[in-house]
Amino acid sequence: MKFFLKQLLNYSIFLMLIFYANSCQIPFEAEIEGKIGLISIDGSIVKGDSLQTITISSSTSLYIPEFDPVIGCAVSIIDELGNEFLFPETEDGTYTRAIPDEFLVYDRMYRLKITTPDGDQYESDYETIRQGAPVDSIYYERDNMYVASEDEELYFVQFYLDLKGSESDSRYYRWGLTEAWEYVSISYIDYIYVDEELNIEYPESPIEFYRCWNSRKVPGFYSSSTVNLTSNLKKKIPLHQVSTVTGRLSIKYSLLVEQYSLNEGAYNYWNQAKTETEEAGGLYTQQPGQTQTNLFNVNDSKEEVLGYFWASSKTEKRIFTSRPRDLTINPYCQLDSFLLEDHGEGSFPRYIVIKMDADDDPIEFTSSPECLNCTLLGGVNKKPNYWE
Amino acid sequence: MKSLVICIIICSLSNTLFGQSNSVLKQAYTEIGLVEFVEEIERNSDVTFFYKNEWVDSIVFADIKANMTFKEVLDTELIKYGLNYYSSGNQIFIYPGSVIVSEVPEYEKMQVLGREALGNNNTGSGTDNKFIQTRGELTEQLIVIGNKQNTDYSKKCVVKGRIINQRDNERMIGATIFIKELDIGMITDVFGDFELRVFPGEYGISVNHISMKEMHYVLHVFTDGELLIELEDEIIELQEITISHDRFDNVKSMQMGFNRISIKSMKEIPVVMGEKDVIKVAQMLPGVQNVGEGSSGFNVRGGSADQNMFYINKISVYNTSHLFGFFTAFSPDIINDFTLYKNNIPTKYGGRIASVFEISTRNGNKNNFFAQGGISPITGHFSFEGPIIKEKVSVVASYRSTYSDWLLKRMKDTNIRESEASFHDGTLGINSEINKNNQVKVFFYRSSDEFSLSSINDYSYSNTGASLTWKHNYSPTLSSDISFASSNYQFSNTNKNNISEAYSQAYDIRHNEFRADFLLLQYENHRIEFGTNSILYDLNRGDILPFGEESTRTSIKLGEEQGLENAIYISDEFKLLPKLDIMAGLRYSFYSQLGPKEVIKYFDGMPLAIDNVTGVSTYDRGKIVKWHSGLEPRLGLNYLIKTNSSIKASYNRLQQYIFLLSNTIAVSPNDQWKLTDYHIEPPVSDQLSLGYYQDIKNRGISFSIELYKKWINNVVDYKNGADFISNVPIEQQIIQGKQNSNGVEFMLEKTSRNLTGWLSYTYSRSFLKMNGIHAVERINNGIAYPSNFDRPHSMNFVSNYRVNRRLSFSSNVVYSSGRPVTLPVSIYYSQGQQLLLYSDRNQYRIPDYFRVDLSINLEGNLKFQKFGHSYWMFNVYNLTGRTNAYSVFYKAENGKINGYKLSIFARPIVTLSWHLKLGNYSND
Repeated sequence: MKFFLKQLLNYSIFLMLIFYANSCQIPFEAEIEGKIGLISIDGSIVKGDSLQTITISSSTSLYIPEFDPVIGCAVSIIDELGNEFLFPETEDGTYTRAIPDEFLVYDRMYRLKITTPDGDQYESDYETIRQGAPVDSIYYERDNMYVASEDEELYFVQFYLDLKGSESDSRYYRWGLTEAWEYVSISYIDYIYVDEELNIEYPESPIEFYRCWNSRKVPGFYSSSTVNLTSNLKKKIPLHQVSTVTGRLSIKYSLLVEQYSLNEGAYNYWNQAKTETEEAGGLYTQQPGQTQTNLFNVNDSKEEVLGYFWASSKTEKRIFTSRPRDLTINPYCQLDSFLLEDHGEGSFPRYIVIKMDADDDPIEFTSSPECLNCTLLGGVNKKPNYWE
Repeated sequence: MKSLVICIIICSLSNTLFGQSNSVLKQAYTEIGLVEFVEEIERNSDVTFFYKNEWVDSIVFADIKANMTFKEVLDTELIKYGLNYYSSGNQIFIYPGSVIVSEVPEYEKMQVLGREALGNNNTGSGTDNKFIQTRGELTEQLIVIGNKQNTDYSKKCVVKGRIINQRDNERMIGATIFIKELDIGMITDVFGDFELRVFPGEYGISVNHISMKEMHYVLHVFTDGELLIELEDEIIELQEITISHDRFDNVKSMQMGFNRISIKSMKEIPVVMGEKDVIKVAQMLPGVQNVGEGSSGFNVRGGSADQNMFYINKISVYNTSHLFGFFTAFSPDIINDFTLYKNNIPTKYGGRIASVFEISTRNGNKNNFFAQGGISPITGHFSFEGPIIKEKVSVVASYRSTYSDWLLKRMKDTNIRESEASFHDGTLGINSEINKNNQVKVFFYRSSDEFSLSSINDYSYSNTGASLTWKHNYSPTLSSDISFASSNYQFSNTNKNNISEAYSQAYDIRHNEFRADFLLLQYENHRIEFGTNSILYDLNRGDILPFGEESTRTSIKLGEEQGLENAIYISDEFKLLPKLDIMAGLRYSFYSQLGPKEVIKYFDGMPLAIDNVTGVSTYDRGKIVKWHSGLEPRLGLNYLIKTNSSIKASYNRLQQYIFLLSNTIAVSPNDQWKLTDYHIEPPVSDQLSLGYYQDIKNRGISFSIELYKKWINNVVDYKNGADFISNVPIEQQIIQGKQNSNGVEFMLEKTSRNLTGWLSYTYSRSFLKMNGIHAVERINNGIAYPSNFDRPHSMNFVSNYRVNRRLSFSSNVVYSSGRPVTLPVSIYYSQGQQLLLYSDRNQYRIPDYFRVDLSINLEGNLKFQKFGHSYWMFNVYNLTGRTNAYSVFYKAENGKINGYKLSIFARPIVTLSWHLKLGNYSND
């Protein structure tokens, strides 16, 4: 329904585009008065995670956001049987500990209890850990869309997931995605000019900077439910898209899907956050409102408390995919012959590739550093353990 | 000009034609200007000349001999300059054109026809011949009603009048008749009829209609009688009224918050895409706004879009837009005019708390066939009208369609290429005049929209309706207007976004309405209206059904609802003091929700939530589930300070028994109408208003200020995450609260000469307060917040400059404060994501709105005899290319929050459209 409304908006904008290509979306910053310093608690107890983490912070500026930790809190999780697990502060505002799996039981209820250094007490409602389904199939489809602002077609792969739960499994889920990819430089290198005097360093091996692996958490909100369906099965739940422009698909790509079972309240909270964060923007969107939290100040029920206490169980699955057939990766790296006069101070080190010309004389080639040293693009040149 | 001559006819006077003009000139003149000559004659005789200076000021008579008669001079000299004259008593009228004097005597025998004469000497063949024929004239004509011998001076006479268009005999709805001596006025009804009740005597009357020339007559009333007045199209005068409201109403009528605009005026207002659009024009009036360009519906005085009632010839229309609101679902070809009541809503109307919007269509020409059509970049439209039985029965029909699909197919975006969109609307009207006491009108209307978006969503909706109206006169003082109208609005929707979740839904609502409105004029100085109306609502919110073989969507029956809304009313408009008119009315409306119905019951005093359900009550078919009723008093005062200025005040109460389930900011095409029910109370509005009205007649300027304050109870808002296609009962998803609105509206209008238009400024506020007993029934912690339609400052300047009869320029300048918006103000973190923390409801505003439009209209040649007439409209919408905000929003992209302003028409939009009519320029 919401998606439909969003599409309606898009559709009406498309209509305008059709007529005269007249609509436009301009970056805009309204003058606003921030609500800074409200307590924000993000706590979870996850059956399937070795470490449980609670973070406590203050709400921060819209335009210059930064994580503003609340330090020195007394944090504990209590189950319905009265077992209490105290959480030590492991980083500023982050409270972590392991809870043995025998204490993480399906259909058992837990709640969070926090006392700040100022003496404010916050608690959550009791939340139940629901059994979740194992992750079913994950797959992708090639797709493309027209980007009006660039006036060009954008090619990407769209990942999907099927959900296959039993009747005893939860009907509400959220997914955390971590992507990893293997990528290569455009060439092996022979040596490095470290300065304009052309002092030379040699790599440990020609392939030291050639092959890398990188990974990151995929931003975005991924959740779905089968509550409207007759069975606990759902096909083709859309996950993220990977554009061909990024080069992540060029060698091998891996996606780790962590599937969390949720309660109805947690699902509604996440879904509303998703709508208000990702789907804002039109006359057919709903009025944003305060997300319904399960946290409250024990002594002041009117205080606006942000965040949620999640009780979940987790299953996960990793898939690998090699470069999609007939996928063109737009190469922006290319080798140029190295001429000293092109490279002033500050443009060193330069990575040099030797190639033989027709007369078998060596010629020095170079390119942008990140094209010849894959570690400069954020990856590591050591293959991760999980990599196939 | 020829038509003018034909009109100069009849009525009046014994044959004194040329009596004076047979006088002989006493001296000769050479090289004398016509003006000078005329003044000379006026000095020496009691003859008076009438003419326009621009017609005559360059004319010089070369040689006028003594002993010539006036007649000879006029006969020989005027014709040289393309002028002619007409003489009535001591008055001589000079005008351009040629004359067919020989026709005059043929009409003379019809000049005096009283009631007796009608009975004894019924020489005419058609009904119309029974009326005294009067024709347009340059000045006052004398009309005699009845027979002097039978006059009873102690008793009032009833004169039944009808006003028709001289060109095609079409009856003129909403024409105004003003009696100078009595300082009273009236408006013709939908059949062009009016009624005078006066003591025998002589009265000066003036007759006005927005698109017609103003006429003045002297009326000699002896006994009861009938009167037919033919108005001419305004084009006879060089200065045409091009943009005008009913300026007569402004000061003397009871109406406040009232606007009537003819299609002819609309033609001259620049519009986007070159489509004449009644709703876009209405949005230029004070107190009328919308939430954004291209959104459907509009908001009157801070109310939501579902608080407006739309009628087209008594058919209620539940969705007035095509393509989400970029166009209005009424073909301009069929529209005669529209009337908008913002307050002081006539007692015969009810059922919506903000406004009544009435569209009246063309009646159809009873004598000649006539067709018109046009094309713009998006649509083509065509209409025709003509007689079925000459002078008795006419037919009028229109059709409009879009051809935007070819545009879609040319787009680069594959999603759009795979999309389709189309809309159609059509009407058919048959008007029959059985006899002078019975008129019957049948009207059909249909509009439909269809689109599919990239084979993910299919969507269609339509309005279909028919009405039958019978007007009957029981006696000269009692008449009725009885109608039955049935309309149906339906939409269906298929969502294939996810194969497991794909579903379809079909919604429909049927509105069957019976009205009987009576008008009683038996009592002196009283205009009494009474009547009844009933609406039977029958709606089916539809079933959510799985779509496609792989869908496992749970079927949900959203439910059927029946309701019966009845009302009886009476109102009296009377003169309390010579300068004080009162309109007092009382309407009693009663509504019952009817079975079959299963009603969920909750614990008393607890929130309506699933946890508090106590059980379910079942009501059988036809059983009353819930009864709501209310008295709706209406009161209006008009104190005439002078003949051209007045003060008015009014109080209104209105109730509404149906509303739109819409938790989006703009009305979306899949919003469902819902009846008030066991748990949902009907919204009630009270409105007080006060106004000052002033006309500066000879300059064609009028001015008004209106102040209003409105209190609404039980206005509906929605809880977070409300979902109307789920199986959660509606009462668990809504909140009811209060709305307060107030404002002041200034309006300055100019309705004559080459420059016409209006300037309006409105300051208004509108606040909602949702402060229920339970926390879940509050929004914004129970503190009042601006409604989505709260735009404090609003200014509209609409102008039309007529260079000549073929070329005119018009422009709009629109300014308003930005609409309120809820914006994120801070960020917090959850599960590694940045989440937005929003401000209080509607705490911020999008940037102010400002737009300038320009339009150039070029008419084809103005030959009188020609097969067709065409005109071009060149439109520039948003001339300055300002990027007005449609919305302002923030969203996460790749883990970062970015702010955007979305602008729909961010550049000037240029359209050229072409319109063709069969027949000449004037038959618009």
